[in-house]
Amino acid sequence: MSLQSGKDKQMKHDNIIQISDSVYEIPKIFKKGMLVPARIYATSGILSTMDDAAIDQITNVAMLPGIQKYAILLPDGHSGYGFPIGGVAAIDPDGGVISPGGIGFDINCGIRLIATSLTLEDIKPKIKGLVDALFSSVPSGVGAKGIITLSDKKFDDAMIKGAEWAVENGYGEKKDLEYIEEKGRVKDARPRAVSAKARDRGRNQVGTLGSGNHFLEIQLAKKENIYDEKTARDFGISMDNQIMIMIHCGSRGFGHQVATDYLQRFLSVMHTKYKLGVPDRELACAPFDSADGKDYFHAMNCAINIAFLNRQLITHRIREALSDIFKKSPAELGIRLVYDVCHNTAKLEKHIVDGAEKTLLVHRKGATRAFVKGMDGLPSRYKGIGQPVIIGGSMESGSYLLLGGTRAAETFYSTAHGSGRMMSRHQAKKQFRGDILQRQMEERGIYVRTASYSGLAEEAGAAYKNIDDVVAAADLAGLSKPVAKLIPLGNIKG
Amino acid sequence: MGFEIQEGITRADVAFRITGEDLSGLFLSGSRALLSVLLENPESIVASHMEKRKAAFENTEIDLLLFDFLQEIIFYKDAESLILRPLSMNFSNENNKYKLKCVFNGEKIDSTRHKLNLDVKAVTMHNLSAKKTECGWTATFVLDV
Repeated sequence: MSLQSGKDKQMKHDNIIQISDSVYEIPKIFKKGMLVPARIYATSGILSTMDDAAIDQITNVAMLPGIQKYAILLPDGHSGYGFPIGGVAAIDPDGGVISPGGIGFDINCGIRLIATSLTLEDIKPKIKGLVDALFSSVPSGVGAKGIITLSDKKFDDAMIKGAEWAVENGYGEKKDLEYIEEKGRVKDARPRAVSAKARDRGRNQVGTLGSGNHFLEIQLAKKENIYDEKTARDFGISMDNQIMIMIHCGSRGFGHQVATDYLQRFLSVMHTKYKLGVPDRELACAPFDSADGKDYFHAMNCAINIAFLNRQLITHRIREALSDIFKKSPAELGIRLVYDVCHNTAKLEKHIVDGAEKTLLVHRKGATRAFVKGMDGLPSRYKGIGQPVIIGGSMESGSYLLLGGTRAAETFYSTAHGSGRMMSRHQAKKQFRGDILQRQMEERGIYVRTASYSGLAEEAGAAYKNIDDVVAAADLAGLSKPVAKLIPLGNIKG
Repeated sequence: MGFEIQEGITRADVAFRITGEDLSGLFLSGSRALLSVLLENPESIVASHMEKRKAAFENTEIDLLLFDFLQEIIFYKDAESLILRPLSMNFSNENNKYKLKCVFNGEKIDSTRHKLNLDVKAVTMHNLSAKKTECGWTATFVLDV
């Protein structure tokens, strides 16, 4: 799909109108059934790399009943199932639908950023030992057993309480909860909406990292990569060469099964019960205000909470490993949460639509919430600043800490979540060898332990878009503003 | 008759095209494709460690029957740390519904013998299809990894 540059609001292509240097629009007349236009937040360079399927998918999203304003595709957008990854749809719950495809199989896949008072000088002589220790203590890869196994009753409690359950049971500190989206526990989580299969899949995986693009990374905040010194300091980056730690994982088999269960259930009732039709089975939906819709919402919330629990348990293991290596307590090591953000959720939030406040069900699939200062739901420490946003890069590129931008309201306060892939897994495996990649990364100062060399090859940095470009596009569009870039030093991959 | 990766369908996950002379062959190809993602050496699943599980599926559509069949393998991988392969499959067609009774066998995941590759989250409905051909059956599916 090629586009010509220019600022005029003319059709550059049959489908896409350039609104500004970072926003494109596909009008609703483009495809029968579209209720709103589709908006793509990207520079022309990024747009030219977006696959046509992603663009086609966002026009399908625009058909969902109850959708407000625009179906949104963010700068890291690429094709997914039903919804593209990097897709946002805000739906009026009164009369509108909920769609599991708008959240994804890995419910509450998300990222947590942790600050420490360690510096490069402290960690350099111990990095291999630390990565090895974390690789041993944080379960990852296929078949990994959870940090804990829960009885039925405890599992139900955990579904309701999320990270709060972990803290109550000695895995973390109460103040951790303040720095997690929704304080680590979404409401309306009802275990009776969760199938026996989802419980069986999830019971033995609590606190595991997973595989694929999930990671646990030790990162460096160098002074030259701090773009907003004051905000960085407010978020917890106050020293040159400060060591940070990042976790990227989700709800594991539990969430995957919840998503599958309800995809199948919605497909079986969508036409016959609700007279709904969608152009793609993966966009299966049900009215939010129906028994089916509510059951999925309640089960999804359970999965959101289990993902928060997973990241909290992994944080506990990180505290233990650091304490063990440095022979100091977590408090002495200055270990504290910067923030924990979700990528795949549907949440009821208040937004202004055409001048009026409305409660909307905001589906974010591979998209990060980016609340700005003063908004409800922020930790009191960040209320005057805004919400930390975390965009994860590849294991070779580094990741970003950002702040919600001045125009984020356009996307219902949503921004990108990652780089997005350029190359298929198969292509990456043909081009790279995991053991060679590991050695090359070590030569460049990034020590990686992996459960699978084949999996590592698939995660080569060259398989991903340039994260700097994605972040720059989100910044240009006013969705999020970079605060700091964090460079990888050590990585655990499943 | 077997499986091959399909490019151009997904960048983040894995898409397959599978074939079989009959439905048993098709579903066997599907299970082999799935196992090829989980393990680099699926031949390492050995008879001496086998455990059996039974399952029954029914659907009006073959692609959705395949979906249920593959999902069952994914389920046991997580629920019981079992890597399963179909041992026997019995297809029937009653009242316009396809039915499958399957006995799986397999073994517990053992990282000392099994070269584990990528975890599979789910079978998706994306590009899910199955159709009869002159040579038998062909299907496509995408695994979310």
